[in-house]
Amino acid sequence: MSVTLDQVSFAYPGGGAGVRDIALEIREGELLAVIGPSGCGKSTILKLIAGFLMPQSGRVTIAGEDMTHVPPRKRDLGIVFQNYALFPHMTLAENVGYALKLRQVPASEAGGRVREALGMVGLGHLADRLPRSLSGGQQQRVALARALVFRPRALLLDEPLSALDATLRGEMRDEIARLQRLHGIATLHITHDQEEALSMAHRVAVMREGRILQVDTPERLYARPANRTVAAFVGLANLFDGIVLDSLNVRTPLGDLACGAHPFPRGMAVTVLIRPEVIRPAESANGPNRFAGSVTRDRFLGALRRFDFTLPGGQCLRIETESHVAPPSAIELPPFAVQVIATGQEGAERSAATTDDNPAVPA
Amino acid sequence: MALSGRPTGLGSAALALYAAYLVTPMALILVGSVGGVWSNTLLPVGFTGRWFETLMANPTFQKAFITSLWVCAATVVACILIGAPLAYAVATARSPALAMFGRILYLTPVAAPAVVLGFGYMLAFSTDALPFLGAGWLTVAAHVVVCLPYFLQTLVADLKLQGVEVLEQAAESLGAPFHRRFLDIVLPGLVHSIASASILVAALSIGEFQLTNLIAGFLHRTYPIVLLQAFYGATGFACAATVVLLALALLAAMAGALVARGATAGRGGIA
Repeated sequence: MSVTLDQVSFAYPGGGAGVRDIALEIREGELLAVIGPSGCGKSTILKLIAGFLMPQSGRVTIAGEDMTHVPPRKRDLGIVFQNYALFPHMTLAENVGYALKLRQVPASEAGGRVREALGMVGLGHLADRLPRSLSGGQQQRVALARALVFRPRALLLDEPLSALDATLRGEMRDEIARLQRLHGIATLHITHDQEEALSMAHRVAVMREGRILQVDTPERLYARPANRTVAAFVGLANLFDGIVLDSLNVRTPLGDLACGAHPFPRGMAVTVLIRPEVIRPAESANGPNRFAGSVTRDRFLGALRRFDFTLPGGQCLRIETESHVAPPSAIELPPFAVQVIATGQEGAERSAATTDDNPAVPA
Repeated sequence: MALSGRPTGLGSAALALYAAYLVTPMALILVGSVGGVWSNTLLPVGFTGRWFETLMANPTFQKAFITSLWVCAATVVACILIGAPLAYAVATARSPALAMFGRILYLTPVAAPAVVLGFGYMLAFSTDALPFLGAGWLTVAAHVVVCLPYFLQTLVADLKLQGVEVLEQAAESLGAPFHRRFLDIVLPGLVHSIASASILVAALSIGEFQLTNLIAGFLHRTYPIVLLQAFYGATGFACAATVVLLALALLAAMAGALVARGATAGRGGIA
């Protein structure tokens, strides 16, 4: 079953940041992540789908049914909250079984489903424990089991991993992705962690100031960001202002660069994106797209090394290489790695047109 | 870890001084209640149990004791019935202005001196239209007004600590209508704080004097009101009468502390 937001707008009373003209579809079986900085409106989207907020305009549909004004309890959505929101006075089994009790599922069937759900998250042996006796990761697993046990029409995850430490976060990412694919359930995952979004989601929506800037697969979002804001938010990026010279050349503060093919007209102000990992150390600065300079900062990151490479004119580029590579005295920017992208919102509009031709949801 | 430069014994000394300040009058009352004669001496002379015997045989004190108990019980019940839904309403108010109004409203009796409330009751309920001054239920109503702010403070703080709004959203998303959320999630989560707040209310109600003195009629005088009379008689008798009130208050305080400790150990906030 899919979930759709159709031109949904919401403004908080008192002028708090809301969302504007949100058009978004979470397809059947898909895990869609929404990322963006704090206050961009990503949690508001979840609340609008859940029914905790009512949009001032637009429609929310679930499985094709208009649910805009339906109360949360009748939407049949499983929600995992940031702080788990397990009922502290109930055992794990009671927590997980609460939705079944409300639906008057016969006790024998409910017991089996609770055991199955807790078993699915590896906590069947702790059914009689109270939530306070569990670790954060275990509590989050219970919250997942509780959200899935009544076979909801969609699953909403509100920053479910943000309260966990780094090791547990990694484990839980895999666990959530596994369960989501096991159930084949449309899932909205709100997060501020881009690595989490890129590694788990079939598609990722990037938000800022109440608007969706781009919805795309993680690979395309990284490789072909719609505009400067998306490029800056997703992954590390060297970004420069540019002026289009022709379809294969662009003028930048670094100098005139040969670039990958782009659709922008001559003379247009654009943004030039160069990802750190595509910049190559060079023998010398002789040749097009080559520059001499010096490493002003060297960060060893285990498998990788990240340099700040400063040109004589003061411009600084971040470079990522394998950790055994020595600090270079010259670099090369291969033309394919010099991407010309839109600076403002027009890029988002272009991207919206390309969103529908995304590949099908992986199994 | 101790902070450097702080005198190590300062805290203990302050605590000991405060304990002495608090305990000395109570100790003197205890000694006086079993002392024979106490006149112009530092401590009473002789040992006797007759003051307690006289107290137990006194019908005025017996009646006041019973009145205090039922007024206290009724006050606790009324505070629970009114306070639990009211605390929920204040803690979950969506509008900050409404939440602030609620807080001001229920904290007003704390700010207003009891004597002001008492005069208000006297003016309102001594007229021909509302001739209820002296009625037992009016004493209960007045005790509720005095005690409810403390009851609410405890419950509102607990509801916020638990993150009741998110717990309710979780329950609602699972399919729970309002009454199920309130009965299944909100109330069970408040059991400990209701218990500890009730004991606080009981302690306050048992000891309440100022307001009750102004509005309680002859038929429904509570124990602290008649206790005042005892001070006009023998010192030993006054001390014995005070010990009874002290024992009740200490009992309530200890029970409150135990329940509060159980509540703290029993659970944290959102799990």
